[in-house]
Amino acid sequence: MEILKVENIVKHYAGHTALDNISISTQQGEIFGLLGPNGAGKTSLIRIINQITGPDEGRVLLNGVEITRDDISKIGYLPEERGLYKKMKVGEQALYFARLKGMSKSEAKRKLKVWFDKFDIADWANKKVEELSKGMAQKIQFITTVLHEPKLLILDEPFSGFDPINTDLIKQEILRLKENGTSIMLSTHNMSSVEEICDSIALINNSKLIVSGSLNDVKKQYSSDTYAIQFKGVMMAFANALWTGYELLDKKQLDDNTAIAYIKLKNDNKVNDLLKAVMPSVEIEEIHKVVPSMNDIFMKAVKGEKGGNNE
Amino acid sequence: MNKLGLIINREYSSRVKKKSFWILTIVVPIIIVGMMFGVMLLSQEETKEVKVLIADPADWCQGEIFQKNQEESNVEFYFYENYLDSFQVFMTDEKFEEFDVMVWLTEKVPTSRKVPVFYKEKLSLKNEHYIQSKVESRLMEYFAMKETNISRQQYNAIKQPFGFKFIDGNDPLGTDYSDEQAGVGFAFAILTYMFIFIYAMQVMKGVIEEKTNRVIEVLISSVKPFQLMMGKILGIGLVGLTQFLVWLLLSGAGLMLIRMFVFTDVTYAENWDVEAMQNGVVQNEFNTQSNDFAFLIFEAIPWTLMLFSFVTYFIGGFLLYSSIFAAIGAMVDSETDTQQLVLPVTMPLILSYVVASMLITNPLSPVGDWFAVIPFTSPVVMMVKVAMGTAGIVQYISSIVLLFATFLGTTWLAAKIYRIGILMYGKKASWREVIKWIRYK
Repeated sequence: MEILKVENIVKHYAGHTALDNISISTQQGEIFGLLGPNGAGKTSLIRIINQITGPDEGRVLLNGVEITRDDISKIGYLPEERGLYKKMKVGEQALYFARLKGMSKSEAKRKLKVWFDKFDIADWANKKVEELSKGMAQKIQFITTVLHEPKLLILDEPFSGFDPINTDLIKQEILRLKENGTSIMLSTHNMSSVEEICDSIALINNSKLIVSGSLNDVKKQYSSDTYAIQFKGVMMAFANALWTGYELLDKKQLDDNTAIAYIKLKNDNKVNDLLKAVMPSVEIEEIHKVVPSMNDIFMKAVKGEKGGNNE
Repeated sequence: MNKLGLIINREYSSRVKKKSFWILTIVVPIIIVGMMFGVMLLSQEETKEVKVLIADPADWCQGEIFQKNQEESNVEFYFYENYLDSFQVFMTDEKFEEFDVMVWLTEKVPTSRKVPVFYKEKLSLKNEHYIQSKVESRLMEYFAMKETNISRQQYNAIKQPFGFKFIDGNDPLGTDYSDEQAGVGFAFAILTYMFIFIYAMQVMKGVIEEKTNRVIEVLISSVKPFQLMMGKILGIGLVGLTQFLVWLLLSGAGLMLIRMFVFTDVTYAENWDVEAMQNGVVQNEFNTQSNDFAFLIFEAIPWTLMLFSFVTYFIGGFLLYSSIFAAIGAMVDSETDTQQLVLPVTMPLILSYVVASMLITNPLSPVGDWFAVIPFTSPVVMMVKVAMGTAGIVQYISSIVLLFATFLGTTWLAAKIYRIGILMYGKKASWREVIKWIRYK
């Protein structure tokens, strides 16, 4: 079931177009990754979804109905550029944000206690934010975003500012929220976490939507018939064994006698044909299809390339 | 509590909980009351008793100095009828230890007409006058009786003093306190000016703080920009009113205590004046002055109207200026960028300060009448006019109505700039951009 649908959004700022006819949709209960280089328009889109700014054209539907200001309380929004009042105490501040989200004082206090215990930060409640490290402040912000248990979470760069341990902690929390039925949209530059947790992605570059779909589909779309063959023998002999039906994209010498060659199949050739061709010349140790990483896809998409790949 | 209430509450309590707020709030009235008390006290009579010994071997005073009543003065007279070899004896001898002053009536006095008076500690001017006039009139009486044949009654009838009073021809009843009223009005004008300026700047700083540390991003997903702006303005305005209220209560209490324990006669100031005139008691002129000041503080100022006006004009002026300052805060990226924008906005405030000071010497100036109605200057200028009683009721009401109407206008405009500006980072907005923001739907 579709939870969020963005239809043909156009947004112009003085002198440039921030979003050019963007349409995406996210499914109930999935983690949706919004990717794109800096300045691509991710934050502009997220702000439009959150009703902070309005689009010049297009509309945003939440559960099939055009979104209104009142729906925003049902969304948990973690902005990319986020801050806290430096002079305010942590507990007081978390309570303040929770109540601005419409929670009652007692409910907010109860739930804050649960989260503070979970993140092992109950001791900080009476500390001022300026006494905390950046990572600590990020944890508080994450808590204030999810505290009111929104059905839809929009997290703009949720991992920025965290060390690997805390990144993992947040990742696990995001996955746990997903298990509990929360739909999540997140923007990130952290491609490895996209592969780990995202179900679908959309990639925006230069204010245009370039790629979107489920992670597997996107990967398929970007994979090509490229194989990595690891072998023992002489590279020259290997290369000579290839006919015109194969293209040697790249090669890597592992030691004196071992190398990896990246081969693209052409002319409807199969892997078996490739193996037959090279087996007489070298000793094959391993062969696998090269699946593009999100990082590769990102780089390729942003650079406007498509097709061939290597690791 | 609704969201606006929550925001107001945070803005208010985060400021009121600060130590610096309370230090300022408590120290200022102490200084005010202390200074007023100091002024009143400076010329106020001493309470310490002064014992005056009259060394009078010829017994001219006959052991008697006429004092109307004991409370008239803190001076007490004692008599010593033996000869003294020198005044050193008075200064050093143990038996004179208790006396502060000696009036030495030597045998040369009737011819030399010079009376040496030795003191151990410097006397106040008032006590010097008192001692001189009392002893002098006693001596005159003695010699009049001795050298002539007139009776004591006759002498006293002649000696009855003529009271000379210097009266302002423009104000024969002597009720003109306009200079003092202007002074108090100007003090209030400065207070209004400072309060508006300080608290409006706090609104601007608060906006910049939220913008630069990006709290605004978190907030803006929960509340509307207008709620945020109004919450901040109202919360900080309440802090200002709280501070003023505490100042008022503490200063009021302080002045009440002074009135109760130090200037108990102030209530009867008019009677006191009349009595002084009838008796021509010259030595009390110093006392009269200090009571004038006390009278001004306690009686001559329309306090209720002043306080009402202050609160009204502070609220109106603060709302007006703080909404503009909130917009400025939203337009810039850091506090250093503000100066250029703040200056033109503070110009009318500075101008109103100048006009207010001009009104002191020229209370009926038509320029003052205009500036007392123009919303950007009225909060400061009107305070002087109210204190001096030169504001007409129509002028007063229209000034307030105009002030609040203008505040609605500036708030509407500021809100349009604010909602866009708070999410713009990296540079100061140009005027062209700002005009564009205002036009955004």
